Amino acid sequence: MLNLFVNLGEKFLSFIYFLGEQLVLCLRMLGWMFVSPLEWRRTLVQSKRCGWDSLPIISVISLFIGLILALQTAYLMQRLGSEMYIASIVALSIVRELGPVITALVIAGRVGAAIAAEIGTMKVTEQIDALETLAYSPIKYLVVPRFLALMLMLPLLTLYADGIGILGGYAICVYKLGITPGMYLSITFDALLFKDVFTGLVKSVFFGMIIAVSSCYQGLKVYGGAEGVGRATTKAVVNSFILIIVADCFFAAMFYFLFP
Amino acid sequence: MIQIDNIYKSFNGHQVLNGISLNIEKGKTTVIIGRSGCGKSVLLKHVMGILKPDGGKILFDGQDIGKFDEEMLHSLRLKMSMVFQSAALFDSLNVGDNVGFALIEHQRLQKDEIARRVRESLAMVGLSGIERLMPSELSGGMKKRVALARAICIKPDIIIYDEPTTGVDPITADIINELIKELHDRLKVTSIAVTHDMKSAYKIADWIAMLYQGKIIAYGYPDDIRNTDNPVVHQFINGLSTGPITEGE
Amino acid sequence: MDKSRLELKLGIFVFIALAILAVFIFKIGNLKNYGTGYEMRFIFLNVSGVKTGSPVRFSGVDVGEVSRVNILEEEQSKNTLIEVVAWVNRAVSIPSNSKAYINTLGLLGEKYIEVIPPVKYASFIKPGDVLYGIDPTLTQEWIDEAQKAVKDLREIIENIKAGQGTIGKLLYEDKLYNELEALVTEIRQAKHGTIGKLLYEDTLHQELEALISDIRRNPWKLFWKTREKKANK
Repeated sequence: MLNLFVNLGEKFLSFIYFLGEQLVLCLRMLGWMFVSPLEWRRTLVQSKRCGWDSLPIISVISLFIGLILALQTAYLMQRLGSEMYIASIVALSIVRELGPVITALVIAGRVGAAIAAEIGTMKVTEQIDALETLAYSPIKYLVVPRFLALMLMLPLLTLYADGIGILGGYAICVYKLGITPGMYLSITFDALLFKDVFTGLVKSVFFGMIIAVSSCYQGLKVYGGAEGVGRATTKAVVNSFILIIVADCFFAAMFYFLFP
Repeated sequence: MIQIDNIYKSFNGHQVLNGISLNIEKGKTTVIIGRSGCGKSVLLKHVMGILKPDGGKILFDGQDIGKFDEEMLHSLRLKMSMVFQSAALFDSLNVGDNVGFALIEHQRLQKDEIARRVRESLAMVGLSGIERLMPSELSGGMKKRVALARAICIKPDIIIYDEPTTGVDPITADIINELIKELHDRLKVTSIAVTHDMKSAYKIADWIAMLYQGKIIAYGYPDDIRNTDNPVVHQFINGLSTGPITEGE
Repeated sequence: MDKSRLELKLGIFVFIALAILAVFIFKIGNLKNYGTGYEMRFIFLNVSGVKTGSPVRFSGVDVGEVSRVNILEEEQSKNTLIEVVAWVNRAVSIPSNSKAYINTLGLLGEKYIEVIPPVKYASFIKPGDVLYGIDPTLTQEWIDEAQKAVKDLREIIENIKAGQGTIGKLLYEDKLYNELEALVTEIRQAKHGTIGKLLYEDTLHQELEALISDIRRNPWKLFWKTREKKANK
């Protein structure tokens, strides 16, 4: 019985420690972010990798999310005889919740894993140490550009996801349920408030930071060769997922009370 | 030039360095020998200021580098360069950018000036005209030489070699040994090398120190080490499978 | 080549994303462009829960929204008025003799301000002008009114019963009856006075009878006064 509590205490402490270490990395990174020279070039390269290269998968996934959402809502709404509201439900759920979160999860899986693997490999092949011996901070060289890229690209990808998701709902409603195109769009934009789009984008900025910090953290912590890199990649994705969902819950509560 | 004074370091309760003291002489090549995993690389990382000791201090020209702030460490590192065991070239950059990395990032030099210095450094290690290649296109021996070129490109006072001949064939190993000697003679740098390759050690060393169980157990000229009466050193340098080192295993 | 392609791709990516954002911003109804409208005010006694953001409809068309709701203390009349400041689209001209009501929208009961224009326009509202609203009648007020009416009615009946007022006196006082009776008796007995003579003396009757028979015989007397005079002579 006592053991149980000791275990629980240990787990909790290690969790706090884990969060604390990431926070320290985040703070050190913020410190380095403003040290010149700015890493424009590397930030651009990372942005292209994170933004442009992720566009196909984000498009496909958000299109399907829109289609599915419209179909599932139609099931209930047709029973209630109010198909009109499918447009508002699709628009609100995508813009407020699914757009930012699904984008963040996909990017955590796609880009976060790549970051953890890349930095982890650099760590086990001593490239990180080599950077330090060349008097260059790995945080500035590796973490800052990735952080900036994810922070800037995630809201943009979220906008794509929002737009394409709404198009998915549009396809179902217009071609399958016989709602006129103009009607669908006007209901969509009637239902949306600017704050819905805005809170979604604010969330996605923070999701970008979470993905960047937890992936870089896991990458820099790698030890033990290829196996260690694999472990770090898994951990980076899993931790990003958990932190994103927890942060999302936090944001949902905060926005609910802040902008009622 | 560098005084290592009673350094202690442990990782996860495992004592790696256990009170090491060593004096590195200016302009000489000091070779530290020891078995794999005995803490040689850790010692080098202390000298570079990447790791901080749990106890003891390291003096660089009489100054304690443990008390250096970020900026002083920065300038300290620009006086030293390290050649890593695995070469540690940056995969994402081509050879030219790898060699010129520190110049590109730290010094406000003209592009053609940097290109000239990179070309010079590569020529010194016997590799010319490979600036555009990526590290993945190079053989192991070439990578080591590129790493060497990267180390000398910033014109350091001290070059640190971490197992320079490990993982290359004997002929390449000898070429690298020759290179190290040549660079030492031409650039008048202080060198620290860590190796367990005795052939290499005898060839390049002015001084040899043996690291065992986290301590320096022997220090002297190569000939002194060769003719040692210390049974531990004797077993190691002759590569014997039986002796005091392996007794407990 | 490689460098410019990287920037080109990123540029396209960012541009399209910002275009989507722009579509969202300009299409979303609630972020109205406040530059192209004007503010007007409504005064109500009670706004039944109209709040910032509630729509303003002109003949059923959304033309603006409430931007502020203020409570005004009227010093002179010792009354509390509610001032509703609303933003109205510039394209809409509201006649100044329009009527403003508070109305309920849809099932969920969102309140909005309905402006109904009059049949004939006199002049239009200018920015900052006030439109006095017709107050929504609350259920409680209905009940109060009805109660007051019932109370008044009851009071009237009470008064009538108590013999007060014209009807009350008519119904419950016998003075008039007595006087009438006395009068009739007096007429019968005395056979004098105008009515008494009218009823009981036959002189007038006989004269009238003579006159009529005379006219019957000589109908021309009605038309030729002089001749009749002559005939009488």
